[in-house]
Amino acid sequence: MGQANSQLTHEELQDYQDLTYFTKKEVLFVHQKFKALAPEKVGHNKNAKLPMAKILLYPELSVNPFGERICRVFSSSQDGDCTFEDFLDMMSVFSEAAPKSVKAEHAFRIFDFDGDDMLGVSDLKLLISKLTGENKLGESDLNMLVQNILEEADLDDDGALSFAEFEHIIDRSSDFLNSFRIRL
Amino acid sequence: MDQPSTSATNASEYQNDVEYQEIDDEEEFDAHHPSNYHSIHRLSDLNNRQGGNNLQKSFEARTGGTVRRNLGRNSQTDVLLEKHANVIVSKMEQDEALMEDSPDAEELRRTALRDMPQCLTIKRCVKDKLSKSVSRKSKRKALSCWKMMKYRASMSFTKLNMNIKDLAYSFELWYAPLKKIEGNFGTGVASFFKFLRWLFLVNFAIATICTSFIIIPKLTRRNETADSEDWKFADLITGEGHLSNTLMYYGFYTNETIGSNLSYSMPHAYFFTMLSIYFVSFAVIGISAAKSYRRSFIETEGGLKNVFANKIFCGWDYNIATKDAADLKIKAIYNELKELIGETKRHKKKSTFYDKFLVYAVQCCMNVVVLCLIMGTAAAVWYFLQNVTSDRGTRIIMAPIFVNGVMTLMPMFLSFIIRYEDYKNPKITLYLTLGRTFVLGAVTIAVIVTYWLQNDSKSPCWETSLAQEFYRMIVFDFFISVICSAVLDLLLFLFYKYVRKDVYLEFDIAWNTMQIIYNQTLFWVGLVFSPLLAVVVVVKLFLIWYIRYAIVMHLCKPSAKSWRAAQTSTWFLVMAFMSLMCIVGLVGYIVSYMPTSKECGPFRDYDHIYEIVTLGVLQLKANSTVWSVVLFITKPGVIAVALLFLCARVYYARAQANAQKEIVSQYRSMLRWSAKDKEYYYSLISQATKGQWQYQFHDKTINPELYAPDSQFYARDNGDQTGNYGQNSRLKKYA
Repeated sequence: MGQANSQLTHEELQDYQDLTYFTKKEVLFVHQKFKALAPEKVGHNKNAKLPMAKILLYPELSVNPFGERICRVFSSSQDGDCTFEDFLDMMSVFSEAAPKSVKAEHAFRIFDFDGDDMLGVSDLKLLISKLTGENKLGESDLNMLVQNILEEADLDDDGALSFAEFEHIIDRSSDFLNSFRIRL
Repeated sequence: MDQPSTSATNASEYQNDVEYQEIDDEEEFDAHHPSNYHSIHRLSDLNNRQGGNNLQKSFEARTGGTVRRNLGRNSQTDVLLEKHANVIVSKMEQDEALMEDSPDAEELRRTALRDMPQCLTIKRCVKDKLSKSVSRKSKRKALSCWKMMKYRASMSFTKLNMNIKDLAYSFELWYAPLKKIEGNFGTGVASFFKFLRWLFLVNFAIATICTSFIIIPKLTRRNETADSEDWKFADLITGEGHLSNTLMYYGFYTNETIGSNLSYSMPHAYFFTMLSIYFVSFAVIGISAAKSYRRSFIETEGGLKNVFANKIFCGWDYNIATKDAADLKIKAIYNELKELIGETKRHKKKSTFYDKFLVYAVQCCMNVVVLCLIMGTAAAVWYFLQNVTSDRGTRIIMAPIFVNGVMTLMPMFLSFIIRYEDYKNPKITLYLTLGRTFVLGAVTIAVIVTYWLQNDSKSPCWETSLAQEFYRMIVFDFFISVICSAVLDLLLFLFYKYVRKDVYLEFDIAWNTMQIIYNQTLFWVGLVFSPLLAVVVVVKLFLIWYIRYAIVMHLCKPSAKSWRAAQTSTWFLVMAFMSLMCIVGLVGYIVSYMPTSKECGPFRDYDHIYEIVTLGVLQLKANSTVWSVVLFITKPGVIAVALLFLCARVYYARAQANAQKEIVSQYRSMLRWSAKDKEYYYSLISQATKGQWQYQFHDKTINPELYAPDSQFYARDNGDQTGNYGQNSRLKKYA
């Protein structure tokens, strides 16, 4: 599952263990997986910045309809290219030990496609279209769906979901923790 | 009414829309980002000592006070990193609780940083700066001896915890197969395999305890048995013959004490091992069931109405790792959305009274039919067992085959007929099928146990006979529900592949889980009088894992419907707990009321099994006051009063929960009213900035109600002139 990796120093491992929801062994395992995405580049620089295309080779991310958006949210330079630390952060938020509040905060950022800190009608429409893939719902169906969601979740009737409303709805769902998780 | 313009609807424009500006100073940084962007659950971690302003400061300190977690596409990334980190550190320094130089504060800083939604690079920088700042500013408080000890103890405990986690991580059983299943089938099927693995580990622990405390001591001192028959292969299946007088059953164990210097009393060992096994399993399963129930039902109270939001936000399973599974999942989500939309459209059509009556009549009828079926099964089992003594050869295997056949096929039959009962909610059909299967299993096992308990005079060692019956049940269950069903699945797969090409074989999670719960129930009943049964069940579960894994990976395709894993696994745990509760009651009855056989077993000296405690260990009968107290406590009246008290407590807790639900709905309507107020103010302000109502607005004769003492405009005009527009950034676009 993970041999001792000579690339990460003891200090860094301690830091990573303190600042993420992983143990040292798990951090080493994540580094192994990161290295598997681009062996030579990471071999030279343990914290190399890999382009988004390489990050999306990771199996769970490659089939995820929000894969690109996830990379953008966790990338420190906002363009989807991730360093090892960004990748570790991503895996840590998606791990089983991360609390629900942290996951909800990051889920909100992932779903907020236009970055205006609210889930508006356009965000929701884009979200639904990504979820249904090639099978497209009709325009009227889509509108009805969005209206229903806003009816359920939008408590202050402003036509968009703020983070508090999103978190309120997520708290009511028992499946969020199970589904918003990537096992190492 | 003006609505604020929403951002670009075109997906490709969103990356350009996010403007990242050069951050010059701290205030500008904050001004762009409203602070209501962090989880309110963080509030529960704060221990504010003074409240009010301090609470806000602590909140901002824990969340880093900023929203933007990216550094941006800027060439001066290092400089930006420094500035960003400085902003966060300055926010954190404002909370005194965080900046103390004590181990507690260190832990607080660590968790605050860990939960902060920022890049890891920034967090490392902040951690570095913080430790420098703390060592510079605060004085190291002298820790008292007691605190030092507490700190050391908690540190070593945490280290131990980490090491155990590391070890468990390296040796996680069946990690690779589980990962493959999750990647290919998603969380639903994986939850079954996780449950199977958990049961396997629990049974493995039970087997280890049994072996070390009961079987091994007995092995060291074998006595020659008078009548040991020859070994036949059929004995392995029927549990009779040669096996009757071996380690397998209760009858083999004697009431001797082993060893001369250090004596090991067999009866006491047997009794206390069994007692502790049942007690510990009861505790473990009860606690898991309660935790799971709390997580899936209580914390999400009222979540039944949020079907759409649930489907959209929690619809995608992030565990899926293969393209095929992803395509199937997308198709499943599409179908479910279409179904939901169709249902809301259909809702508008009301059904007539006659239709409703018909549906209710069919449902009632079906329930009665199922009850009759269950009673019929119980009667048939009783009949089979009654005829067991006439011809031992084949009759003793008739009962297990019949019972296990029924337990395998009846659930499938029940889930088939429930389709005709036309329940609106698909969850109800699942729970009703599970409930009926559970009742069927409970009734059948109850019949078998009653028969053997009543016939204690027929055989010389009734405990061994009971254990043999359950051994046969477990072995036949393996053949019928595992091997036969595997063959059936293979045949179905070939049929679908060559004859009907559009249908796929799906893995039936509910049926499989009920089978292993049934197996577990049989095991717990048989364990009382058969210690080696634990090893048998461990081997059986091991084989079940590999057989089911092979079936899933090679023959099945992912299901077209999503499976609500959290709630259904709660129900499975609750069912396992309920069956264990019934079994513990049964064991209690056996221990207290059934007279022991005089010729076999470790308790042959006592009249009842419990006397080993009362007469042997505690010498209770000697002390008459204690004994009379115990007798008093076990009177039915006292127990009834205790139960009544518990019921009252439950009722009180439920009333509390209902009251809180009321409060929540009141808060919701208050939110709606304040939203309506907001809309009104937006419209007024937009009119004001257009310059239209400026004078009329302020004219008290035209709008007198605005100037009533309890209105906001009164305060605004006469007092609070801060011009604070609150935290909604969109409001700034009007200003």
